[in-house]
Order: sequence, then structure tokens, then C-alpha cells
Amino acid sequence: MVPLTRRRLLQGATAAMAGLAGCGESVTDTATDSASVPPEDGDRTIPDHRTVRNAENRPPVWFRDVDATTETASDDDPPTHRDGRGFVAGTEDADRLRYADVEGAEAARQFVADTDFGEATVYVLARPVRECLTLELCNVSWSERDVEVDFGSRHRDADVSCRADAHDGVSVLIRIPEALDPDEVNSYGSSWGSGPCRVRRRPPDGDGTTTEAPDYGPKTRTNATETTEAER
Amino acid sequence: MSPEATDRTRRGARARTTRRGFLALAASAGLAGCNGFGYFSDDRGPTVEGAALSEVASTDPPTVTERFPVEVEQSYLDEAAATAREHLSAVPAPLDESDVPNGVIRQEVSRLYEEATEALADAAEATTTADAMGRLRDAREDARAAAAAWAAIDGDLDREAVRASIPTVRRALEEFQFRWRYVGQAPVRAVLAHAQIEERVGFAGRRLRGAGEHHRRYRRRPDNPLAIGEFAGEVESARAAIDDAAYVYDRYVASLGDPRPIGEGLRAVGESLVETLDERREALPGEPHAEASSLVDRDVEGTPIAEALTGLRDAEYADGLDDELATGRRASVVLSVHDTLAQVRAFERLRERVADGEFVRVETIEDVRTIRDAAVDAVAAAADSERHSRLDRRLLASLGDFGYADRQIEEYADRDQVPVDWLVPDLSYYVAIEARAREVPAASATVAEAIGSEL
Repeated sequence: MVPLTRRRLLQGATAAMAGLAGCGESVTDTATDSASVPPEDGDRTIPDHRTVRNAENRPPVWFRDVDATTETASDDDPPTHRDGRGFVAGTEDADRLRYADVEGAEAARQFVADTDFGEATVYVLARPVRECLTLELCNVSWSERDVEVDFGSRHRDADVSCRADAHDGVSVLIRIPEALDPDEVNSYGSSWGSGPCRVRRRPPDGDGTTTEAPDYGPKTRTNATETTEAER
Repeated sequence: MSPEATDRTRRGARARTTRRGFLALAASAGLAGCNGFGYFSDDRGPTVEGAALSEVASTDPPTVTERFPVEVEQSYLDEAAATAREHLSAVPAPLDESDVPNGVIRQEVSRLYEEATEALADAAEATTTADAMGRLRDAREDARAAAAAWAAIDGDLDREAVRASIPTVRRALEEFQFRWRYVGQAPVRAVLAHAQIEERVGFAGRRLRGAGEHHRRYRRRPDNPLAIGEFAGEVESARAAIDDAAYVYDRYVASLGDPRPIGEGLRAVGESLVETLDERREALPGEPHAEASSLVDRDVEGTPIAEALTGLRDAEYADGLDDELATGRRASVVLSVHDTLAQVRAFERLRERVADGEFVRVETIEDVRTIRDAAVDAVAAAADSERHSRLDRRLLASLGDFGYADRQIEEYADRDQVPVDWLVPDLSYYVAIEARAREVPAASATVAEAIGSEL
């Protein structure tokens, strides 16, 4: 069993994303120390996605507000993680996306451009991630009104230079294989676990483990002759 | 608490005081809050001065330590410390960015190093042998975890190498179990000595099983140096427990002038005591988690004695006993019954005292002082009894933490006036300690008699 104290210490920052809910929307954001994947093989049920990382704690991919009166102002304001959440259901939405000049941004732009919006929707979200951790997408589930995303994380390699108390901004673009109507979606949830994506444990297939209690007393060799109880 | 949970609470000097049933009592004592008089109401009932509370809790409570049944040489402890230091010497502490650029990994390896160092210091200052051995085992585990994590970072160690060491350690455990015999001379000491061995064998066995599962559970991050470190630490703690079990056994046997086999007798003692305990438990009134009002005919709601009663009632069964019976830990069974009998008797006797009208409704600081003093006196009186001192001391050493209740009381020291109602959960702690201390001699006598009749 993983000792409790050590598990607590290996947890990264809690998912403290402030002020995400807007009018008519509900957002839940929880941190646990493990995230789950569905019982089938994880990879098959995770939609195609791209991840982009920004050394600053700001989303590397974000939506620019199209309000004409504030167009200039919002171009200058650095984006918040909230600006990094939204749907791309067509080219109009795609045109609102902005990309920081970082590695992976071009691939993300291409990913959006290659999407067939008649059959899919790109869900974009962003979150802070500790510099020394990577973000893993464990599970995505959705309905007409609600999208839930589960993340896990791993330590980056020991050779990666990173500060323990600093955060990067990470954007994730998920191609949901359904043409959702963004106006109908009013509930978003994401959860983040400090460990890697957990595979649901399968019961052992007859590997010989017994349910007998172990013996933690003195033992006698079963092939010893006439070992009496009195000798124990 | 589960055996696994108990393993990890052994850190620090108060390793022994939070065992088993009393932790349940502490939890229940802390849960009840500001009942009776509303938290926000104007009528808060009787109050006491915060400063006076601080004064009541300021006198040193009695501490009783359990005497280790086997003499452990300083040289053995020094060897264990040296093993831990050897692991630590493999880590180029203090680590800097050029050693480990990843800040989180660097921080965690450093933390393991510091924990090991702290454990070594605690061991050196430990007031009991059991504490010293426990902290040295912690030190070995954390030191090995730090060293293994560093070796993994450096490319010198991988997960498979750690996994490959498990069968060797498992064999060492088995080899010890094969040469270990239930032998003894003085009966009570024999029970205490073998219980110490059983505890360490159980720990090693659980750790090895856990390490095997660890390997399966973390196969998705095979190269994570922290996971490798943790894995190696688990195996090392099992090794340390086996070393300790073997040492205690060898020292014990060497101290016996005329050892004789006692395995069958031990089993019989356990059987007879479990039967006694079952009978006592069946005769207990009320259901588990009952309200105090269903346990006595008097109106005691809101008094410290009510919470002590319900706490003792709920904690009336040793939750490690089933596991000890199932895993063949015969001596531990005897001691678990010892623990639980004291608790059951404490409940029964407290209930009688309530029926006789012997309880206070706390209203003044004097009442608070009376309750605490009664607990102190009961512990001191039981500690003075020479009759079954080894058995008495093991109960008294784990009766409960005066310090815990004292600290809770002292939280209110800055307040001008403290509603007495707020103090009830903490005062129930003292009542429970007193009730249990009073039953220590009788519980020990029952167990000593059972032991004496078979061994």
C-alpha cells in the first residue's frame, strides 16, 4: 500500500482554477489523487487531441472576443485560462482562435483546420500545470449539454530543468467526434489527478493468488516428518 | 485501524499511544461539537475563564512506558543506523539544479533524505527501545528510497532490479519463520516477546505483498525515479523488519536458561481469552453507536461521561484481533484481548458508576480540574501496582494521550470566557482515560491467570 504521507507529498498543485463559472454555466473542477479511465482500453475511447505548452502561465491557445468595440483592447490583454476554453464548431469559431508563438502551436492550428465540422467539434480548454509535470488526457465524456474531461499527470524527466513552484499554461484541443451545438452546452467539468491515468484494475485471471490469510507465525516445513504441534 | 494503517502511524515519539480502540474514541470525542447550548445563541450556559483552563492543563501528566521484553544492545541499534547512513551517503546531498534539474523530483529526493536524517535523530533520542527500533526502520526505508531514486536518475538502477530483489527478501522471511519456535520460560514475558516478533513478521509480510502490488500498479510509469525509490524503500523496510524480528528472537532465546515449547499452550491461552471476551461482549447492553441515553437510566446527555460511555462502547472490539487469529499470531491474540478486556471493563464499570449517581455535570473550572485530576490519579495508581507490572505497563502506555486532550483545552486559553459546553468532548477524553486506567489491574489479572494456567 502506498504510504499515506508519501502519496500526499507526490501530489502536485491542486487544481485551483478560480472564477470559471459564468452566467448560466456550471463548472466543476476537482482535484483527486488519481483519475480514472473507462474499462475498455483507454486509448480507444480518448478522442484525437493536441496539447500545447506555454512557459508562461497563460494559455497558449485562446479565443479572442469578437466584440468590435473592445477588439483592440482584448488583443492587448493577456489571455486568462478562461479565455482558453471554448468550442470550435465551424470556421467562424476557428477564426477567433489565437496561438502563442510556441512549439506545437502550428500543429494545433493545423489540427483545427483539418477538422470536419459536420461531424466533429473541437473543444479547447486550458489549465495551469506545474512546470515539472506533464498533463495527460485520461478520459472525455460528453452529451448535448455537458462535457467532462479527466486529466492525470506524470513527472517530467529528471533532466528537464523546471522549478517546483512554477506553472506553465497548457492548452488541450480535443476533437469530439460529434457535431455539438456550443450554445446547448452549459456545463463543463474537468478533474485533475496528480498521478498518471489509472487503468481500472482487472481481476486476476487465475494467476494462483489465493484468498487464504497469510501465515505470520512460526512455520514448519510440510515435508518434515512427524513435526508435532509441541515443537512449534 | 487496519494493520497497514497502524504501520505508518509509528513515526515519532508517540508511536504507541494511538493504537487501536483509543483512536476510535479520539475520533468520536472530537466529533461532537457545540450541542446543547447553541453556538450563536446568547444563552451559552456556564462558562469558565480561558486563562484558568490553561493553568489546569499545565501540570505534567504521568507517562508510563512499556518495557521491551528483550534486551537490545546498543551495537545492534548502531548497526541499523549505519545501514541507513550508508544509503544516505550514496546521495550527493544537498542536491542542486545540476544534479537534478527537475525541481519537483529534486525536492522529493531531498525530502526523503531529510526524513531519513530526522528519523536517525529521533532514534538517537528515543526514550524506549521500541521507538528507537521503529524510527531506525523508518530511517532505513527513507534512506534507501532516496538512494534508489538518485540511482535511478543516474541510470544505475531500474524498476526490474528492485523487483528482482523481492524473492530474496521473501526467502529471508520464510527462512526466519522456519527457524522461529514458540519457546519460552517465564510465561508473561514469553507472550510479550513473541508478540514483538509476530508484529515485525506481519509487517514484513504485508510490505512484501504491497511491494508486489506496487510493481503492478505503477507499470505505467516504469521509469519514474521517485516511484522506483518508493518501491525500493518498501523492500528495504521489509528487510529491516526481518532483521529486527530475527535479532529479537535470538536475543530472547539466548536469555532463557531453560526454554520449553509453548506453542500449544499459547494457542490455548488465546482461545480461552477470546471466549471470555466474546462472553463479555455479548453481555454488553445497547447497540454499537448507541446514544448514551440508551445505555443508562440517567439523563447524562451533554456530560463528558456520556461521550466517554459511547466512545468506550463503540471501541469495544479489538479490530486487529480477527487478522491476528487468521494469520497465526498467537501471542498478539492474547495481547489484543488484554487491550479489549480493559476497555470492556471500563465501559461496564463506568456505566455502573453513572447508575450510582457518580458523575458531574461540568459547570466550573473546579469541575474541569476534578475530572483531569481523577484521570491523572488513576494512571498513577495503576502504575504503582507491582502485581502484574509488565502487563499493566503495556496498557498504561497506550491508554490515550493526555497531551492530546490538554492541547485541545489549551486552544481556548486566549478566550476570556469559554462555554463549558465546548469543553465536553475534550473532557470526555480524560474520563475515558480514567475509566480505563482503573480497570488495568483487573484486566491484567485475568490475562495473567489465563496465561499461567496454560504455560
